Amino acid sequence: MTQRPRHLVNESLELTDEALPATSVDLALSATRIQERHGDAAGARYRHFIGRAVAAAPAAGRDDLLTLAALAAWRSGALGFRTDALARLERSLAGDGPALPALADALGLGEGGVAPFAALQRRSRFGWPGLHTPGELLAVIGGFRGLYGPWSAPPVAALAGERPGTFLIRTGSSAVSAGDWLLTADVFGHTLMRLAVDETEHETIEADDRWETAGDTAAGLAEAGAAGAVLTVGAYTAQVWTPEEAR
Amino acid sequence: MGLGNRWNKVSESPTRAAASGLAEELTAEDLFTEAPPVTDTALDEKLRQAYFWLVNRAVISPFYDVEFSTGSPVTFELGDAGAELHLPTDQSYSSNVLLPLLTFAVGGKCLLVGGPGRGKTTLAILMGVLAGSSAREVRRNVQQGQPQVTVSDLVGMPLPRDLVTAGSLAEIEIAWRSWLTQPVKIIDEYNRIPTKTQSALLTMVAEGYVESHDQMQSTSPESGVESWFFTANDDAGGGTFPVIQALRDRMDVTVAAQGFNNRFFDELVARVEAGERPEDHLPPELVFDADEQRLLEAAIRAVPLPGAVRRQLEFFASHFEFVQHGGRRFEYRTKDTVRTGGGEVAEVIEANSGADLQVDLGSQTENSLSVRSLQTLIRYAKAMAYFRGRAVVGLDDLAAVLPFALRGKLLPNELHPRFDVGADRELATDAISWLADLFAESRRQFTALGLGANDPISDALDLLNQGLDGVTSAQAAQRLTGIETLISEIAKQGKLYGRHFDDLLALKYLHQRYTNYVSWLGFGG
Repeated sequence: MTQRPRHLVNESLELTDEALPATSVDLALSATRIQERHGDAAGARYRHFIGRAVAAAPAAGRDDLLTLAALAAWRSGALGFRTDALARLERSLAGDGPALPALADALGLGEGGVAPFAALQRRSRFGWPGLHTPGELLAVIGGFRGLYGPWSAPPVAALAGERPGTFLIRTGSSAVSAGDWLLTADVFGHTLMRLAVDETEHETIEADDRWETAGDTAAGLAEAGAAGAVLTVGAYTAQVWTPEEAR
Repeated sequence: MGLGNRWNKVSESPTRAAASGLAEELTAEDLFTEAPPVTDTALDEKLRQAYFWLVNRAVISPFYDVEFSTGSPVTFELGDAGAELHLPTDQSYSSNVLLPLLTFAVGGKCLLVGGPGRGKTTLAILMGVLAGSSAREVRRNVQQGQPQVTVSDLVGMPLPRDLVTAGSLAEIEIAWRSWLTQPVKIIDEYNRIPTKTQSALLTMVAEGYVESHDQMQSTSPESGVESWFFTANDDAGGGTFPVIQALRDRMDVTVAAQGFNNRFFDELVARVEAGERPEDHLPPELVFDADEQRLLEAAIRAVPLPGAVRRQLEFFASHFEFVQHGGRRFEYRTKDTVRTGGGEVAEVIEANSGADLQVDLGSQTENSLSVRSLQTLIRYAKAMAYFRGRAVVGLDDLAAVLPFALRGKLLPNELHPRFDVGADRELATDAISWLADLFAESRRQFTALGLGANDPISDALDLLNQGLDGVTSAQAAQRLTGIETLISEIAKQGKLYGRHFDDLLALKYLHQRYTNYVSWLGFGG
């Protein structure tokens, strides 16, 4: 079966195109920014989450709206907002922020799931209520260019990156067709960036002897208190799994 | 039924795979800030969306001759005459749409050549509509080149009232033509314009103003960014009037309009039946207002040209000035000396039996590169990188625009054996392929000579650029000896090529600077 890039947390999501109300911050602008930086699909998810969250907190002040926007942006797949969103979530759960129903809507969770989610995220960027079993699929990444993916040659090797949630992926098997990619991922989204390979940099990448022993599976760097996620590559995709029991 | 709805399809965002910087740390405030990066990002995305609308909806151009690949593209050898078809692995583009669009973005001058009915004028008109004018207005402002067109036809005329009553030229008011201040200016069939009128056009193109009866009018539009589009059926000197060389040299890029691919006939039939023209249906979200045009041009200029890329360009340009028997004194051994002295460059090159014509890239050209050509090349390479969402100019960006920026400026030496016999004969008429090959060969030589890793002349120039403060007389003398050693190493090689010419003159410059410095130290004390 042809695998499409996806994050499992979005699997059963039914998006609604929420009307964004006029508030003390320009929500339409924030939606545009997400769409510009992360694409149309993330933009649609953002509108869904922020629309529902703001509807649940109609009297929210500016700072509360920023909290909901940060959470909705992170939840829609913009992983650059994770640190800010998580800090704001902690403060909100301590009573300094939007009420629980709005937080739950911004994250696409039930009210009972918000505190467990925050606890899971404290340990791992891949934490999500319901994803407990080791070896569970978190995300499918990449894809064949002919089917709108980024890769024209299959990924052949994977390495752990320098930070938790980052991996290096090599596509193509011959020296001339090889390409190296930096994957940064969390439970909600990922970025895949091709590493520049020109005449001056090629030697450096070739010299990275870690590739010599790299296989089709890489265990990511551990986070404080939790093992790192595992990346496997095969066919034209890469899969991110919860730790251990990765195939 | 009209095709109205079909025109409105704009490519979904993002049109390029995510570039760097997406995984950076962001805060909620960033979502609500109209920061400059947002504008930049939006503008390069918008430029790409405009491109894809143009190729997919407006001009039906399924040509991908501006190729980008990471690794090796899949290549098929076709026929028995050495034809090859490449399947690029990265997003590639159609030159006859991309180069006009980049011209619009940088405020340049584009010459569109090709036979009648190939969409040259339509493309130029579309650029005008992209700049915010209505299609009707742009069409009305197209200046049609024809043998009777006068300077007054082009620029406007003095008010008859003033001609009678004015006591001096300063009192004459000119009714300037409205096209002069349009952001996109289109001159159709410029090689049919009489020579005198071409000269008036040259002032406008080169200086940005127009003069009549001692009055002056700036051609700058509201945005300050103006682009020019010229069309011609011929780029080899044909036409009703020969194009004056100075005007031809002002063309930043030259692009050939491609023929129609007959596999796309259904689209053509649909348009005939609907009776619609693409320029009437540009989606409004693709229009660039004056502020956006200004920001776009500024953002393109700001794309950095890394030192490694600049060095490759320097090396490429160095091949073409020198010719061994061009003069007696070393500095005068140039093609320009031959040309300005009334000689034939090709014959002088042929007379040089010392150099290997296969290796000497300079022997393939009749002339060298002007500073204006190099500036144009840098500007378009930056535009290419910006269009592709790259943070800095890459060698591939430079290689992609180089043939179009140098076409008609770097001229082939037709007596060179390459154009005379063998598999490369077609390059005599295919300037784009020849120029692309010339740059590729220059890059190969650069790599073979190991200049990326070891370039003592660059090192010596860098050392001087660090300044002479605190350099002692003994250190300067040591550097002078080093320079003389470098010169003698080149001298030992026997054969002399264009790249040596620039290197030797740079070394002579360094030698002078240090010699003067040592003398100055001596005087001082």
